[in-house]
Formats: sequence, C-alpha cells, structure tokens
Amino acid sequence: MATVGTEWIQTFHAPPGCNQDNLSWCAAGSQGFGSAMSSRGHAWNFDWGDDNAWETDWRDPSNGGDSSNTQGGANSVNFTYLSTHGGPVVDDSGNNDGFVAAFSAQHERCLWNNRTSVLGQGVLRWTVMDTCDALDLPSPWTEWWSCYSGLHQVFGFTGTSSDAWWTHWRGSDFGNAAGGGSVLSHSWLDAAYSFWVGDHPVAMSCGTDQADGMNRLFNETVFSGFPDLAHNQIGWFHWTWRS
Amino acid sequence: MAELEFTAKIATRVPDRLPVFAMKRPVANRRVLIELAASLGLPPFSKGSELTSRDAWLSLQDGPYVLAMNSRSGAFKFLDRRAWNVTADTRFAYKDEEAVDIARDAVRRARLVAEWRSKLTLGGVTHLRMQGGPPGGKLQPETLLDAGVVFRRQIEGVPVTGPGGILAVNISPQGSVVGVTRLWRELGRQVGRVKVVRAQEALARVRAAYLRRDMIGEVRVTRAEFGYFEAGPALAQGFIEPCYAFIIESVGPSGANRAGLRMKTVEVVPAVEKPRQRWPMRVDPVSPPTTNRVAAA
Repeated sequence: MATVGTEWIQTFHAPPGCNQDNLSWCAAGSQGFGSAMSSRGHAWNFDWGDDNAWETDWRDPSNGGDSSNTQGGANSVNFTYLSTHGGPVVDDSGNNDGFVAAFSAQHERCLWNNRTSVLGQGVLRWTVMDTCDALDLPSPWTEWWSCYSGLHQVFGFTGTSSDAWWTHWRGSDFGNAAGGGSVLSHSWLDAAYSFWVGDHPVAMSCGTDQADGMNRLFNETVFSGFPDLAHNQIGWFHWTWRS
Repeated sequence: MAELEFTAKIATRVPDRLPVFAMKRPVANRRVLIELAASLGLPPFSKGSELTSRDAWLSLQDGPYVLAMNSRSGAFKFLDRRAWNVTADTRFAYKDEEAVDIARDAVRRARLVAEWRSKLTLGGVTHLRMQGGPPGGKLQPETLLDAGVVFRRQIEGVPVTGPGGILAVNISPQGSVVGVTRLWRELGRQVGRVKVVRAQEALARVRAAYLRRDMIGEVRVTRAEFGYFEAGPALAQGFIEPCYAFIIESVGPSGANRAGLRMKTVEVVPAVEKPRQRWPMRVDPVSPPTTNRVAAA
C-alpha cells in the first residue's frame, strides 16, 4: 500500500504577503484524492492547506528546504497531490526549464521552484501537480528533468487547468481509480480531461530507454513495483495526453 | 479592481421562452449493464464476471471489458482495456471523418441515444497521443493512439452546455470501439415554459461578480455559451433548464524568469428567473489526517 500526502492553497494574501488570485476548489481536489486513496486502504499521512502548506516541504535540504520532514515533506510519502497556481520557469531564451507553484504562507518563500528539489530521494514515487502549466507541451520533460531523482511519474496539465465546481471531482476520481490499482496514466487522463472546459491532462514517466519509459507509462500502477531510477539512470521520458 | 475583457462572443439572439423538462431518475443495475454490453456487441458475460459498487458507480468487469454506470446521473462508461496495450508500433491512422463515421455507426447500432427529443451533433474529434525522447535529445514525432469522437446534445434545437449532454466514442487503431462515455440524462415530461433571461443581463451579473472579487492581473471571458445546462456524472439532476456558461481566465503579474501564473474557472448563470434545479456548491466533508501545523523548533 502507498503513503499519501496532500497540500492545497486557495486563499492568498495581499502584498507584502504572498499575493495571487484566490482559488476555490483546490481543497476539494487534494482532499478528494487523499480521501479516495484512504478509502482504498492507502495511508493518508498528511493534508496541509493554505498557510499550513509550506514551500519548504518541497525544497531539498541541500537548498535550505525540508522535503524529507515526516510532518509534510514531499519526499516522506509515496504519492503527493498539490493543488494551487503553477507555471513554468523560463530560461533567458524563453524556453521552459523548471516549474513554480504558489504558496500563501511565506515559509520561507511564496513560490516553490522545482529546480530547488530532488524529488524521489526519499520514498516519493508519484506526484500530481493540479495546477496550470505543470507539463506544458511540446517538451514537458524540460520542466521536471532537473529534479527527477527516483520519482516515477508526474501528472499535470498542459496549458490551463480549471479551478471549478464542474471539475473538482478529478482528485477523488483519480484517487479511486489509482488507489484501486488501475493504470496510473490512464486513470489521470480519464479523471482530469474535460472537453468543454478545455483541460488537457498529461502523464509523464521516465525510463532507462524508450521501451522502459513506455512500459512504465502505460502499465504502472501503485502496486507495480517498478524500480526507482536515479537521476543519472534516466535515459528517456515518455508522456501521453488527450487533446 | 479588475475589469472583465470579453474575448468570446455570446449568442445575443436567444429564444424568448423555452420549455423546462423534468429528468427521469436513472436506473443502474446489473441487467442494464448486461443489456448495454450486448448492444455494444460484447460477448456474453462469463460466470467469472465481477459486479462491484462504489461511490454510486456500479461496475461490471469481465476480462478486458469494464462497464460502469452512475446511479445518480445515469452516466455510462465502457472501456476495453486492451486499448491500453500500447507499443512503439501503435499508430492510429484513420482520418477524422472515418472515425466519425465509425462512431456514428456504433451509436446507431448500439442505440446509445434512444431519447427521441434530443439530437446528436458532432462536437469534435480528440486523440490520445504520446511522445517521448531522451533528456536533452531529439524528440520522437507525436503519435496518435486513438480517436475520441465527441457528440454533443441538442434539445428542441437548443444546445446542451456544461459537463453533461455528451457522448464520446473511442476508436482503436484497428477501427473498433474501445471506449464509450455517455452523460445523457433521459428527459421526462415538460414541466413548464419559462421566459429566458437576456444575455446582457447575464453578462452584467458576471461582470459585477468579478468586480467584487478584486482580482489581480488581467481577467478575460474566453468562452461564452447559451444552452440547457446538464451537470457532471456525480450529481443527480431533477430538471434541465437554460443557462449561460462562461469560461473565465486570468493572468497574474509576471516575475523574474517566469510568466504570470494563470487561472481558469467557470461561471454558470441561470437563464431563468426562478430556477427549479438547485446545485450543491460545496463538497462532501472529509476527515483529513492533519489540521493544525506548528513549525519545528
């Protein structure tokens, strides 16, 4: 069985606090996932919302963070679900080379930049970024390559994702399917795709080579037991989406 | 305060009055699922088939076939799990028009929409896709893995909007039907005829609501639609009534090495003065494992 941690941020603060437009359905998404996984017998270890969700939970200790803390560290559980604002980091040429997610508590930073993280160094295997622009096509791997270190798959969206009453069930739908042993990539696309709203979910897996990357992407479940790959063992990224 | 910018146009000519219909209570049981399986041409279910119930979803599983129906909405899903046997050689090569023809034929033969007052219109063709490559190396070309033919619903010539009123048929690279998603509640009797609220009034309500929200950055209405509103699969719906639905997107301020963070939401404004249908705008309570946090010393 997997261990699960969820975080969500929907109420931000006026300057000089962490200022973003408020969101409405992030708690429903993250808690829906945690609750569904729990109902499938997995251990929902933590759920932190708004000012209780911290950027340091995702930043690596080598960069001053605390991602291994058992209270809420991303690397302390197998499956994380973060629901908030997100967007790509761009290099000087305008190409995506990282990802940021917004937090409301300045503990210690308002934005988590995944280039400060080493995800998968603990027991983390899978992470959902229920945000906009977490896996932007055509090259979603560029946003995640730097922090991939034992992580198996990332689930997110290319372009915007809705924060809406219509679509807030995607967390619980995904948790129900994933927690029951369905193929993870299929479960995410099935739960998060919305034709009318234009939500385009993406699932991305790493592998040693093409065959391994595809095998993981189209077959991995929470019970599969695919081996972890260190950063320098990753020779391929493979992703799938519907649009 | 942010001013709403409208980049989408809404139909300003809407009917003066429209009928309101009750929706029939859906029936979800093993017999209905078996009948649907037969209509899709699946082999008879074996003794080893498994019927499970979870969160209002009744699921029947036999070998690669999974059929599920939601007892609240009547939403129906069919999946042939062999569709996920993807290899490096998997290619969906049919043209979209061919996929639409296959889907239309399947809908007709399986009688997936029997409701006589509703009409099927083509909403679009989606594709499951894959791509990959070595980090820092050249990407493979994008590959199509299926076609998802999406039909939308019309009731007496008026489109149905919202997450419901949809029928999607998935076609495999071999040209067979490997998935169906149907959210198409059956109409009951007409319960009245109502005056339709003008589009300008709905737009004014959305504009006023967003002025109060004190949003930062630019806020745009990127899609606006008039139609009957049909809800998502998790909800029971007693009546179908006209509404205006809007997609609203915003972009926050940009920062160093990053563009402004974006947001997208949906607003639905009833197009009748006194809606019969009420929607629960809250989620079922959960019991999270942690609620209060103290920083470690």
